[in-house]
Amino acid sequence: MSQLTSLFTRSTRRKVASAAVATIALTGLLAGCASGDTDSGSGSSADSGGSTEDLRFIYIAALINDSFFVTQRCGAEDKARELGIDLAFQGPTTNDAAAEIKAFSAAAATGPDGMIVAPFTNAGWGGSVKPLMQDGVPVVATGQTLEPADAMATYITDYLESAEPLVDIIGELTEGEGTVGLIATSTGNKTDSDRYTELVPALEEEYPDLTILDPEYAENSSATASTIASALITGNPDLKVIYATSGPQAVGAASAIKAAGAGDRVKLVSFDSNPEQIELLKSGELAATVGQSPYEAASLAVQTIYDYLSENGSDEAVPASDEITPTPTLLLTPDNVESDEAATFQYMTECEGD
Amino acid sequence: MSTVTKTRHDETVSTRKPSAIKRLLTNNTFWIFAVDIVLIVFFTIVSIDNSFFGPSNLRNLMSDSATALLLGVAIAFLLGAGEFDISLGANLILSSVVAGRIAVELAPYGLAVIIVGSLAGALVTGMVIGLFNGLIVTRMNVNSLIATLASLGIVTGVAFIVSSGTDVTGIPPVLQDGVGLNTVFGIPLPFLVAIVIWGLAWAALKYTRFGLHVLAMGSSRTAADRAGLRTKAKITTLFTICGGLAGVAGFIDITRFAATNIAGHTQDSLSAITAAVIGGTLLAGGVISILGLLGGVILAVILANGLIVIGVSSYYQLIIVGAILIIAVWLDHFKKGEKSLRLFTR
Amino acid sequence: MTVITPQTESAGVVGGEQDYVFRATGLTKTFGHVKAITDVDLTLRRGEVLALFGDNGAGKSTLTKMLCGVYTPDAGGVEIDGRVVAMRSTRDAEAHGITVVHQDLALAPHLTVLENMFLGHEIKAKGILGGLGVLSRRAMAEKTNAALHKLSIKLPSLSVAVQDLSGGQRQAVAVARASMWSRSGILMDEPTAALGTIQSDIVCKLIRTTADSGAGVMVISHDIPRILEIADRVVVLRHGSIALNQPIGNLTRSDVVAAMVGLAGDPADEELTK
Repeated sequence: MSQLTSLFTRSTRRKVASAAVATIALTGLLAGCASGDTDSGSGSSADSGGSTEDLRFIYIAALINDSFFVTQRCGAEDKARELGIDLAFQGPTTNDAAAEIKAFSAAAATGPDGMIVAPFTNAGWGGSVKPLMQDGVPVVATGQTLEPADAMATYITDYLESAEPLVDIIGELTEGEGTVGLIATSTGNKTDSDRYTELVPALEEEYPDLTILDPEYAENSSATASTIASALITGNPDLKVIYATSGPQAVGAASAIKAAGAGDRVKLVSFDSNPEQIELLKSGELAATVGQSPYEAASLAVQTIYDYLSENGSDEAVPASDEITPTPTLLLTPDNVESDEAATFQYMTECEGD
Repeated sequence: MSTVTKTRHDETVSTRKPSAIKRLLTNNTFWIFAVDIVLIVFFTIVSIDNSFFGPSNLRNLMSDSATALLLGVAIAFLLGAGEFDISLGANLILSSVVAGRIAVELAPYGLAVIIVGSLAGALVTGMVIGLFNGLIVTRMNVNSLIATLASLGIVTGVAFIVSSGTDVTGIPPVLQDGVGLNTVFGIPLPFLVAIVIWGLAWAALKYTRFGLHVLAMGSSRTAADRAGLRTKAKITTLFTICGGLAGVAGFIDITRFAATNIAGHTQDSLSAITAAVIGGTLLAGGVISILGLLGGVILAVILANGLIVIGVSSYYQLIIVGAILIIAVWLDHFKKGEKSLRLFTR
Repeated sequence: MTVITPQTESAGVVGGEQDYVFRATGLTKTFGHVKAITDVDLTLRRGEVLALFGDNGAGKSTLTKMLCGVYTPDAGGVEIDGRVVAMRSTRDAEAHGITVVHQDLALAPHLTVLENMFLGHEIKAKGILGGLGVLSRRAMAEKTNAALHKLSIKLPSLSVAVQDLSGGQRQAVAVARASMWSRSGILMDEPTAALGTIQSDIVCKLIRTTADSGAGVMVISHDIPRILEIADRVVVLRHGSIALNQPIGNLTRSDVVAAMVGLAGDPADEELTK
């Protein structure tokens, strides 16, 4: 045993360490050279006036395991396949704004021709997007706007418009009186808060006898949402409606309502239309939900960048625009959930070619 | 000083026992339950129609505590043995995904088959993850905090592969009706499962050789080794068992919601550690309080539910929870200062 | 030099074939270029207190570790019960009847006296419960009380956590534990090092009592005067070899120190002392 340990004398260890460092340095150098070659290959000034050969786009989404974003991926991938574009789809696996921004910067450093981002929240993108646009790399936002408005185009749901049917539904379910509970995701998240910040004043205006509670935050955890919902039911005897702003939160709230046997008294509405929410609609545990069209938004995003590059190439800085192009939404209910129209607003869990 | 000479049925032969009151006040678990009772009384009084303590809300509290109890038992034993495990939440997720997939496949065969199949799947998955953790810690001699941090990532990644990236769809709702939302004599079934396991854990710790050895390894690994305990094998076994508990928690999860929640469970490990430590389990090892764990879990569940029931705004909830945490820990400290009330003065 | 072996009353020590605990011959241990122990012969008899002295670096620790299974000798062997044995762990040593009290005591601080005494040797309950691993604390308490009584150790309770005992009491528990599981011999490393005067006296009395009950006890110590009072035989190590090996006789502290430091006419040392 002691012979073995004496093998690892200081001089031996030092030699091994320097060999390791040298290998790593060499590998890094080669990798740098390689990406350098790619850089000079694509987007070089030799190509003026728009060669669209071998385009590479990267799509960064806020939560790649959420069916909403998976649906975006399907839309983006189908369109990319159609146009012959190499598309990579990446992003964090938990609700983490900072992680998404880091992922975006890391992806940008690999020198893609175009980037699409579905931000978790709109703040914090200042330093990341502008340099790309200056370099002739178009950036398009889906699902949420960017602050500052550095992107070339933005495709999002018009939350105000999509919330209007919710106002009517909630009014119907409560008959204008009682209490409405609100289960949101987290603070500092515009994608989440947009789903209720304009809804609430609208409700208050149209149904002044309604009491609308302050939002509780469930961080997209169904267990937390269940705890919140069951407490809301206990603490508010005249609770009529719970509005959950996302799929997992709707699932949690539905479970709590069912456990309390309060399905007749307390109704559930939500935003988004993931497969679990579709099931809840079909079983009647969910009264209504707003389905977005992420497939549409992502598909449009890919097309827009492609069209731009075809026309203008990547020599000049890309002009930013704060114009918002709304994508359609539909209020899904147990009545229309089986219809063809509703089918395009339901989220997918896997795409063709998975 | 009394002399230990005669043999007796109990092991303590001491002529000077402090009064019952003094023993109660210096008992750690007394304080945590005292805080719990104060809060329960408070919330009951302030809530409309005293609904906080009504049968419906009591059922809520029980359902809310099932997962925390299971993970709490697991982490209390691991902490007691001198190890960490922050991969429990990820373990729960992967186990729930496997259980969910199995439940989908077994859907046509009726509730009994679904339960047996998916529970078995969750249990096996949890134990495999635990075994994996145990082997890294004992064979590769990696510190358990680092090892479980790494396995947290690995296990989460595997969960995505198994579920193809999104939550498992098509879990039969009969699982929810039959297990997750079912009650026995008015007690939610998930809570019953958790509390039975909690009781077994308490008994194992108090009465069995395994429990004693867990404490020995956490109190002094050297002493355990020198006494001839096969510590590596025992630690591996412990990780495996605790992984299995996380697996059961994963099964319970899909029965409550008929869905998995891959993006959730981020705070589960930390909440479990908090409940265990508040309850008197030492972070450094050597002391486990399963009774105190229950008090800690009850505290967390009461606060999460009660503050909403009485209508406290969510911003204030954060402040209040933090303040109560400090009070609970301070009271524990206060108890330790009363060492002079203890048994032996020489 | 009298060897007291009151076999009948002793619960821990079994009357073996030989009257010695172990007989070590030619023990040698080298670490790299350092010869820690060179060709040491040592015998420990039952009922005898053997004091092992030596300056720092003389090799006391290495020698002890070879005698309890932590180290394997490079040369030489240890004979127990007529056969040369190879001990590769403290568990092996215990199987051959030798237990150790280390300098750090190796007690689990949060566990009680009872639990520490029986750690690794727990008694299980009978029947199904035992099969599940349930312990019989009553049986363990009975045996513990007996062991403590035999050594005249008085403790407030068996349910005290060991960390709540005084240093002397902790040492007593460690000695009692080693005595309970020893079949022939106990090795003690610096048993009085961390103790005050009165407690050290108590521990020394305990060592004497343990030997009187039939065990062979080897004590390593820097506390020469105190240990000389209870020793039957004195062994001094210097630079890895035996410098002195005699019955206690009239040996004084100065004799021991002289042997430790080498003032007794070793030509090599004259250079050092000049």
